[in-house]
Amino acid sequence: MRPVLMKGHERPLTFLKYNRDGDLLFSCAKDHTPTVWYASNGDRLGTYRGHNGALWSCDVSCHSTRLITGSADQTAKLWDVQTGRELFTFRFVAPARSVDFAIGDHLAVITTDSFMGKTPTAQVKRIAEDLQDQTEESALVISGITGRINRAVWGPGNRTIITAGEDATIRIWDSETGKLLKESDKEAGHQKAISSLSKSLDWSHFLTGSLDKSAKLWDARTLTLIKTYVTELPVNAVDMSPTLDNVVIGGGQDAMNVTMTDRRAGKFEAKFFHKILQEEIGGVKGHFGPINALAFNPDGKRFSSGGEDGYVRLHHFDPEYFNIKMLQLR
Amino acid sequence: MPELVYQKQYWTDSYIQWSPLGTHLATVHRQGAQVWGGDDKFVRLMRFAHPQVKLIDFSPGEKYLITYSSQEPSNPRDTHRVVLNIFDVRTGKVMRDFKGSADDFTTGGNMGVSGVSWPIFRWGGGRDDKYFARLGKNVISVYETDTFSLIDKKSLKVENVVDFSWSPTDPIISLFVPELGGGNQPARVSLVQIPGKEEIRQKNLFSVSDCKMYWQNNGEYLAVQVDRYTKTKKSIYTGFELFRIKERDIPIEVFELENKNDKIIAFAWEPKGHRFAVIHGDGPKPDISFYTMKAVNNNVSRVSKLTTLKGKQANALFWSPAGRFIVLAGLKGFNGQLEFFNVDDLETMATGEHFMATDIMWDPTGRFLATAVTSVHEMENGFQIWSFNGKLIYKISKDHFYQFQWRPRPPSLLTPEKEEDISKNLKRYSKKYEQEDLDVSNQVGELERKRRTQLQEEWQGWVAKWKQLHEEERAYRMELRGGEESDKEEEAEYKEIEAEELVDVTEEIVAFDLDQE
Repeated sequence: MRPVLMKGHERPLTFLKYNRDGDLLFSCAKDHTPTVWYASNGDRLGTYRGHNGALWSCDVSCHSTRLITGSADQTAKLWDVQTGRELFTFRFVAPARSVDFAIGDHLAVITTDSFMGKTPTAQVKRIAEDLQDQTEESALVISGITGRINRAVWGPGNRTIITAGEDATIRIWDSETGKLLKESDKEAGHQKAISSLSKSLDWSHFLTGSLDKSAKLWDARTLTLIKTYVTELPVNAVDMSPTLDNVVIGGGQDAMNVTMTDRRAGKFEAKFFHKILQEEIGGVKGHFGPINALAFNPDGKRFSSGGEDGYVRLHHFDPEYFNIKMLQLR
Repeated sequence: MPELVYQKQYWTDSYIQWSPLGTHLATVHRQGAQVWGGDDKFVRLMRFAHPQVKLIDFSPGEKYLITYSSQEPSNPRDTHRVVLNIFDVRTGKVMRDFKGSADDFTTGGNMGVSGVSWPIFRWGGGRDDKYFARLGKNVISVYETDTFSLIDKKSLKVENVVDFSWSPTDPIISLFVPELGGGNQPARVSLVQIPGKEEIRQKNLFSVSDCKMYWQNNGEYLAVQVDRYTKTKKSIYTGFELFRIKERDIPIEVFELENKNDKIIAFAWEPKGHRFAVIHGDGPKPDISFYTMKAVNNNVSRVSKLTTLKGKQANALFWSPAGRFIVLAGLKGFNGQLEFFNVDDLETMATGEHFMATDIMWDPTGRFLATAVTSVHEMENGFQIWSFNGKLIYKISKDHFYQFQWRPRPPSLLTPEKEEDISKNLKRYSKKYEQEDLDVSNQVGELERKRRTQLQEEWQGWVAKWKQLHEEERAYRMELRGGEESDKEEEAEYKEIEAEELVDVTEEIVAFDLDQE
């Protein structure tokens, strides 16, 4: 099936997120406007106006009522998904980067970059049911990490917070006390900055993508490295299929290849790997620039990719995809 | 995926070459050449001393190896000194050498990088390695390997000869003499039988600007492409003289493309077959036409067109060594376009692309195609392997990729009758092999299967553990959600839907004694 091209962003895409039901797709880009689209046909529903800087990530509550966004304008904002109304602003002293709702949507973890002498932090905020009760107060602040934290997410049962970023190390923190519980192994782990992180449906394992041209699968409780997927380009985005045993990896540009890539119109590929066998099973081309964001639709039948070229592409899998023999070795 | 059989660092100084029947691998070094061979390992079998050797060439039957070097003269105004040695491969003995100035060896042909057209000595007469010949000024010097001297102690005198070509299978030379005296003496193409040196066929040609000779690999046909000036001498049109070598009296058929002004970009005979392909046309997307030599008209064989493919991004033709299939390739400016074409059914099987491919080579059986990007380009070095029908099987990147060569196969052990039987019933045989191939690719091999099962089982262990933990934490999660039971939504619903789709309806009459597997 031909992919649907959605051009709504003026600048490169940075993040994509489907809501739990899979009927809405939220996109973040370096232009200041997060956008929501109908996941089925790519029609744009609306935009959330209020930020003054690039958007780095977003998350949506499980009933699709609240959207949270993290921006370089040093704020994270809460929005009403349906009306687009800005509900609340969390202000920081540095650009906000990663945002993630906890199970139950009563907590969110937001990371801030290093800025003017301030080191990166991961902060937990309470999200009140009633807007009246919403405060900017942090329930917990985790600091002490030197490299930029590109992703911070909640671990299983909200008991832990998992951070990953520029220093290529994944850390697990106690979400109550902020104590560092585990760190990923330096040798076996990533060798360069971790750009992306995607959790499994049951939050038991997660996939990280790194500029070291690989993606790795980890146990979320023990931080054991389970799988490694090797590609040829630095990885900017990863996601796991919710229904089948495969993962998608998308990437970017080696500085050396800059002159080469002009000639390769539409050749940037989202690569699919067999989750268990770690082998590449196929790829989907089409972007005119590096891929910065990937997301599987919760129904497992579609996925979307966002690129440096400002386009979001919505793909339906061909029937062959579901029949790939390797994927059926059960 | 390919399996590494053997590798060796610093194995060669410049390049490598397989012997024509695949027995040896030859390497080139400062002191000379060496050949390697053996069962699984590659053991050095023989050394051939030739200091500063630049180029080597095997005889078709692998009996002899010719090495060439060209010394820069101390006085830059002198010509280079050329040394050629002919070795017996098995014993390493020098059977004959040739020394001289570069001028002696640079007549006719295409000037290569070293200033010579290599190989200088062309072998003839098939795999018996009986004769070799070279072009000289107004002569073709033909030597025999019984004595390693000129046949009848003298060269074949052909005034103004500019090019010659051996039949791949028989001791016949085709040669071309251009027009002389401003049209007073017409150009001619001749076939000369060796060792007798009799002219067995000859044709005069008029208004010729250029001529190229193409032999079919079984020596059955010779196509001579003749470019001619129009009467005004302002443009060129092309015709072909097609020689049917194996028929009595070697009939010649004159043949022109529908548009004879079309420039000929490529021409290729089907290996072991009766067809040829031509890329022709001006403009960025030329046409490709296919012809057969075996159309019959009034009891006489005539050439006849099978089809023309219009407007293709192709500039090179690569027939499968077994015939029947061809890859229409767009190299250089077309950046590696590939079209896999079935010439029996006259339809495209698949299209593909290997961006910036510099070399395209079929394996000797015709089952695989290799496309490679060599270090001519700085980036993207490596090779890809495709099936004969255009499916990409795998790709391997290799920085500083220099050379890719399939190992040739030894000659077939089948008698000609059995071979003919197989090619007649090829459709039946190929079905069986296609099925076998499918089975093999499905089977994936015992070892691989074990590995996969192990990985799967290991994974299932993880999944089970996670499921258990997830269950244990269920109550806690419900609490977080304020009493909501939403686990159901978390787990994806696996519904197996069987969808039947009518893909194709074909009717086939099956022979009784077909192997039903």
